[in-house]
Amino acid sequence: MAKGYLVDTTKCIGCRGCVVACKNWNQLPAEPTGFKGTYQTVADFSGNTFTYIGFNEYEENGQLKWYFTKRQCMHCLDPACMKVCPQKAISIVDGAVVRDYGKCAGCQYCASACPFHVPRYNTKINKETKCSMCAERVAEGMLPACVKACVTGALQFGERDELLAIAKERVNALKAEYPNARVYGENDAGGTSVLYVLADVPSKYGLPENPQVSALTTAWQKYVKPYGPWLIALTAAGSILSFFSTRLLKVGQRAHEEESLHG
Amino acid sequence: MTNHWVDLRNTDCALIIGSNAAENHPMAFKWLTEAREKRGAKIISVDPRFTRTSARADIYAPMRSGTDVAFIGGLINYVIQNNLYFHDYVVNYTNAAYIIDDGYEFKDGLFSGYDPEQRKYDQKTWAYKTDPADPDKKPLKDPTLQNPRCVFQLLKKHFERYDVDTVCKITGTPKDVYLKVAETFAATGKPDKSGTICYAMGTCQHSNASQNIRAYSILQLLLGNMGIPGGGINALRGESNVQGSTDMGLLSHLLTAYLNAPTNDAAYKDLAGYIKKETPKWGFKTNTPKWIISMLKAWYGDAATKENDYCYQYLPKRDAKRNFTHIGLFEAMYEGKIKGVLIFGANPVVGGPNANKEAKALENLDWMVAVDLWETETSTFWSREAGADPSKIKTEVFFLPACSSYEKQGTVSNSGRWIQFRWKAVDPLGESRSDLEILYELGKRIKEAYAGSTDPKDKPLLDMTWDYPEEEEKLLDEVQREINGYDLTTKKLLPKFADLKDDGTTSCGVWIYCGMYTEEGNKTQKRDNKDTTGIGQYPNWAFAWPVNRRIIYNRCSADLSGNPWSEAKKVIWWDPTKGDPAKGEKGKWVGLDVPDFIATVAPSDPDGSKPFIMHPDGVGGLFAKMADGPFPEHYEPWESPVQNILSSIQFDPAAKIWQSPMNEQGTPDKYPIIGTTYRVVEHWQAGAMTRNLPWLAELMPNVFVEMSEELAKEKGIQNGDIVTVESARGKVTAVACVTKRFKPFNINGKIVHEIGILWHYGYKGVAVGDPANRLTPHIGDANSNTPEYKAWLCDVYKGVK
Amino acid sequence: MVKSDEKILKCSGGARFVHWSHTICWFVMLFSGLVLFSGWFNWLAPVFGGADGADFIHKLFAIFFIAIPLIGLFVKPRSFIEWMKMAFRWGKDEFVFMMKFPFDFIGFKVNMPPQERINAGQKINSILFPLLGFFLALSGTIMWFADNFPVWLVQLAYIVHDCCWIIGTAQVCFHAYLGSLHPGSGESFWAMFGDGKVRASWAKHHHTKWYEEVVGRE
Repeated sequence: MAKGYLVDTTKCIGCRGCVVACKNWNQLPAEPTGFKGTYQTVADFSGNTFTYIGFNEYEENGQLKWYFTKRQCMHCLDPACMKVCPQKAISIVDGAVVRDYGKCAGCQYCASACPFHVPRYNTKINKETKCSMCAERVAEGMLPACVKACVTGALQFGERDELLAIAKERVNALKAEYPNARVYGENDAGGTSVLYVLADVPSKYGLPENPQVSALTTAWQKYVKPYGPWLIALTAAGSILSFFSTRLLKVGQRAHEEESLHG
Repeated sequence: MTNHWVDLRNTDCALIIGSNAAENHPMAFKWLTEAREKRGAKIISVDPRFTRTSARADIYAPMRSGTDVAFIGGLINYVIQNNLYFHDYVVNYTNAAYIIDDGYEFKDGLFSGYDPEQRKYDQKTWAYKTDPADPDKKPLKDPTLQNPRCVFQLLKKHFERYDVDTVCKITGTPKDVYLKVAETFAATGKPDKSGTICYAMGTCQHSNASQNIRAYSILQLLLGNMGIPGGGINALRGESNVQGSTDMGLLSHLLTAYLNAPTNDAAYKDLAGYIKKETPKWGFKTNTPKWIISMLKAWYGDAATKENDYCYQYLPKRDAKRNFTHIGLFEAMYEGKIKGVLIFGANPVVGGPNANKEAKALENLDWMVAVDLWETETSTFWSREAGADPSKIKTEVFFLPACSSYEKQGTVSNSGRWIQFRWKAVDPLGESRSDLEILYELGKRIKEAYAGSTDPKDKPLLDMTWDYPEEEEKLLDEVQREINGYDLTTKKLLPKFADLKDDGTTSCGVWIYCGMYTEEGNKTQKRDNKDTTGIGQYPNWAFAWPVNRRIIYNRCSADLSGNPWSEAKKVIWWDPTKGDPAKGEKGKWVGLDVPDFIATVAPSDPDGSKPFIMHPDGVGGLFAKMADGPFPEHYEPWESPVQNILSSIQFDPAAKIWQSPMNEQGTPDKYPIIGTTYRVVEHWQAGAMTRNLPWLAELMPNVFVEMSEELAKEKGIQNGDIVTVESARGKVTAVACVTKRFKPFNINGKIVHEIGILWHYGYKGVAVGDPANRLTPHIGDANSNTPEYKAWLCDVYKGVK
Repeated sequence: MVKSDEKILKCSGGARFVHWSHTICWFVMLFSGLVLFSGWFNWLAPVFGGADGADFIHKLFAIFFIAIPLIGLFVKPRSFIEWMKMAFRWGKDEFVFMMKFPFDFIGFKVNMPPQERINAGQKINSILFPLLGFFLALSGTIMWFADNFPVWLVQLAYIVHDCCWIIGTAQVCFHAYLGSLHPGSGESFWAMFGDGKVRASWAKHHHTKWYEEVVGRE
């Protein structure tokens, strides 16, 4: 059994209490922003922003829709970030994908490997940072800060299995009115500890329809990294071979010209 | 709120109008979300633009700002025409059956008795018809509701004109959407269903705002939604303690606990006169003498005696002809009639209507004391930053640093009337003090300054009780006790307001708060979150006025024989087995709440079925005297781009018009666009408390103006452009938010645009911007004079000119 | 005619500076990079004061790695152009050299065609290293400032960076061996390591064309 979040987008009012609670608990400074024509003033993750709300508005058949999506680390069951980390600084603790900043070298591999592009570079500590599922709070039996701050019950925290059951029940109830309703994260990206109840297709919430580790990262991880260094070994071995063979073959031969000259 | 926050979870339909609850009262959505999920409740959002609330609503109905009476009037008509009202409830618990005076009439937008010179009604004809032979002057009634002069028939006739087509021509709501709203909300007229109306400043800040709320009352009475779980008319208060402030009598026409303040009218010349004028013949308000005398005893202590009318004459008698509301005060200040002002946590240069004028008015003061957490735009109105010339301003400004709510203790009264104690979390910073300490010190020093004076006009100050302990914690405790009240003979705290007396042996600062702090302890500190009622009353959490009653008018939840109208919506009921026969009791009202009724008056007793005990006639007022009419009538806002199609009366005939400089009225030829103001969840009120917080400034960094894609195209504005909004009073620069969520209105065939702008901003703090209230006018509601912030005219163009 | 033990200048001071400073950068970045490359090399981390120390050193030396050739290019642009011209000048002799090279590598005696100041193998080296250096710097910059580039580009940069350093390090192995321990290479090693000069007789044998150009036909 492992912990997880349930983000029920049909209950979210986009108040962003979770965003401020996250910054408060993690003591992350505000960053300069400007209103650019959308309520989504905090547009993306950053080294100082572990969670934000996506605001997407649509008009379909004269019906207005305004979708609010709480974005944060998805806490994958099989995290790509963990796989690419050379320092083994990333691990799964009770469902949370957490990082040991003492081990982290700041290489940023995890950022590009993440199918949701969550980890971001914090220039102050020179590390990739992200949501830790408030592991230190959870360890003390508390709720993650964002869940604690959520007033409508759009955010729930608990055992992933139980949340998944709740999510499915909720989606069944929504299906009649919202045919595209679905649970997101059950199997997406190999399953995530953050589950979403969506009333529409994921892309309308700004979520990737088919999140997966990119082919480039897979190629890098599966072929370049394990096999590449053998090339060095091969050349080194060749050089050693040459070192001995040249000397062995020379035993019966006339010394090199310049050696005679030298002599 | 007639009900309370948690009770929203019991509703079957929430009509959210004039409120963006998700934005400004997120906690409301905790309970509405629960109602929706667990009961399948429907949420209807009525708003000029699609809001965060609309995003979570089942039905979104667009409505042009300032047309609430038309919108609700149409629903009233729909309910009556389609026989969807709760018949037995209407007949018995409202004044529907009462016959109205023959002189009453309504013609072309005007009720009988109008004096155009004074812009005032003589309300003589707005009365019940009585039998001249009856010495008690009992109103005549027709329980069949067929008499054409009965309230019900007059109501029906009045709102007949509000047919769906006409209403939609006024409000701009698409007809199919309007019908869906009507059908959905009218479905709550069944005994086992309840519907709530949640409103806020979008309802209150109009020139006919009080009539908006009257319209809600009529609709809710017709549907039998008053006094039941998940029903009621629920004002979502815009500030954590605004309920407390009105309870404490901060409005210019009130003493504490909604006792009217005396005026210079001859009727108020002495205490007997006051009591005669303010005490009705029937109902709970017959206790008025006990309340006023106990209040005077709390204020003047031993100096208040029967012989001196309990110091009644110390009360100021305001000039009934003058206006002491916000606009009135600033108009007087502008004219130089006010010399000094104390401003506690208010920021009129940002939050006041016609902010340019209000800033200018402050320049005429000799002195100003600003008490706030931060240096606000108001406390620095004299600075160059504010656009003023300090060398020309003689006002002496004092700034007293106040501490925040987390740095002090005390109670706040929420919208549901729960008086909740809040403990101090951290010590105040620097020299900052709590408002109470500041006031206490001020009172103490003023008394000291007048000590020994023999001038009779200084007597009120000298006799005022001000013998509080110095230390903040004890000071607060004593003030709370004084509010609750004492039995002065035993020096014990009073357990309930029923124990108040009119002979000077009890004191009570605020009678409705009596019972909050008894000999058992400070009940506002109660924090038992177990619900023993099953409907979320949480009776042991804090203390709700009056007498810890959570749903007021709850007698309405039971029928004439005292049984709940339905099992699903029961609150209290008559239990014949519970009474004490020794005292001659036939039974008792019991149930899930403190009965809003005399607990031992049986349904069969003469007045056993008059649930509105605070009303002189004991029933809900479908017909009720207001400054601008006994029924709500639609009038256009002071500034409107269209003509009123319901009558030739364009503007509320009883609203006061301030003909003064710096308050020009905009005309639609120059300013064709409707403007409205609102808030966002990230900021709070005039912004000092949130615009100074980097985390919130990050989320909402600039003032923006929302407009439709159609208007933006017409004006050549792109999303994110810097634009100027201009009204007859001023100009504001803001970022354009071009959105699908705002749509032009089709008003009687004419395309009318509306824009909305945030009013949080000013030049102080981290997040800065122009105050939107530079645009709004000095015009107020006919009854309360609440400024018309929500509907005015403007123009918008790209760039800064 | 020059005497056989007379010395002639093969590598200028500037070239030697660039070569050796770059060599230092390469190895520092190689070892610090290995720490960042894989957990297998975590044992190297303490040398740099931990993994983030390795990251810091890697980035610090990356600045030198990029700056040094840029300075060289700025100070002596003509030398660089001459060098590149030579590296890209391929004739029959070069191809024959490369064809015969494997035999020489193993130790058979082969008669190599006459070579210029740098032989065909060195020409490959001269092309490959600047090219790898360029791509390492480019991909490294993308990796360093990853948040400012599209994710796919960053992902590609990792592959490019790793391929470049792997090929480069393999090449370094060859280059180091051939330039030092391979029979007959000592001369140029010491030239690069010392004053840049080689004995004329050695030059005549190994870089005949250059020798003839510098010394003139006998």
